[in-house]
Amino acid sequence: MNGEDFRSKLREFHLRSKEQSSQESRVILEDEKKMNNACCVKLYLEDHTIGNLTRMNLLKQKEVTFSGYRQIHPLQHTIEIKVQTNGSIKPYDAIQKTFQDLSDEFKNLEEEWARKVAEKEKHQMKLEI
Amino acid sequence: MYKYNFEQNSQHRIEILELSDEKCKFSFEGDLSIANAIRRVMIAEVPVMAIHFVDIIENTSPLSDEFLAQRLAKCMIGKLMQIPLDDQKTKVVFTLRQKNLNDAPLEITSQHLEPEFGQVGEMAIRPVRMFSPINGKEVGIPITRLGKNQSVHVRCHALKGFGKMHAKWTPINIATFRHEAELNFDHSQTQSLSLFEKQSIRDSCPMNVFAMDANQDLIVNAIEKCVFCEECIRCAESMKKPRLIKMQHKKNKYIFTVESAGQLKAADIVQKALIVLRKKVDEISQDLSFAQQQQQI
Repeated sequence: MNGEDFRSKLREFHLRSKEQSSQESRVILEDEKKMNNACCVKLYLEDHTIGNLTRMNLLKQKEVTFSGYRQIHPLQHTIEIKVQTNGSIKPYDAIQKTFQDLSDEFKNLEEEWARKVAEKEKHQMKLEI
Repeated sequence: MYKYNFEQNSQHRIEILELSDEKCKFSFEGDLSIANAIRRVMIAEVPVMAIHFVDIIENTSPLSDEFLAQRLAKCMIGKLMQIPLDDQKTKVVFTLRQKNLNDAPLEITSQHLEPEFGQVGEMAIRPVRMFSPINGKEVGIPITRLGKNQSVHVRCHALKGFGKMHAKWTPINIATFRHEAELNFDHSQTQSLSLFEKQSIRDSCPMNVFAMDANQDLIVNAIEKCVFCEECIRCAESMKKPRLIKMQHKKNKYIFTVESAGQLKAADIVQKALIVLRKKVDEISQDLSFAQQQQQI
């Protein structure tokens, strides 16, 4: 039931983007009013995969003092990430830096994986011969 | 909190332990959240093709229509097409038309699904070929069995999707990771071990992690096989040497096991998972900057 719901929501989202002929954003950015230097990012159609990844890697930056995520309701495909920095950089910039670092990280991993697989296959072919 | 430096040379983060078409084992050094994200994406977000719509023209088989449709959805389709997700315009259609005229029951398998759009040979989009582990012959995925004069005639329409939408679209049977072990010997006690004691520790391990080297010393030979059963620690305790071996999780080192369901090769699944993750992160980053610009306006 949850999967079929996700599929229909994803279809809806893509159809809406096509109708408006521009990429609709799945992200809502809000400034946190109760905390200093904090913002709250709501991601639609995302789950713990991105939530935990972003949260853990935000904590690795020295300027970030608080970072947490939650799924607002298990039946809704939305997650909310809250970030607070110590003031030297804006929380929005901290998140973008994390995404940039993660993107580079995954690119390096892809290249390394392709290389290691090629090596291993060559090694295995040599053993067969 | 382990401070992982992103500028670290990432040349040796992955070591492949086993590699075949169906199964792949590799060790990965990195943060737990990245390992978990890769695992989650391998299960739920790597796209494959599966039968989604079934037009039932005739069904006198022992299975009801919806049961038959569900069985058809489980037939894995190999050869991923470069089409958009959830696209219904590209006709990837299979026909299944069988009638049993004999007395003996006829087993309908995925081999009976015929592609309708003319591609033949190795490049055809067809259900995954499965081979019997007993005698190596090609077998099909059983769909149903027909008795005398029963028949089935369906047209199946395959779509591209990923595991989050429905479990039929998952490329893996197994995608797990575990910690790698770190075994530390208390050196003051290892000096005083007799040969018999060393051999009994080596033999106590069910996974053959230990070995004796040329100097008759006990060494750790295959640390990636350790499953934390602590048999070696129990053996050391029974020899009255309780703190001889210390067993810990190695920080930030994980051993992945990936077994493919047949649509993609195991190595391809991991590669696609990394690509999907990178695209996800890039897309969210772009959406975030778009939202930021809109707010400023």
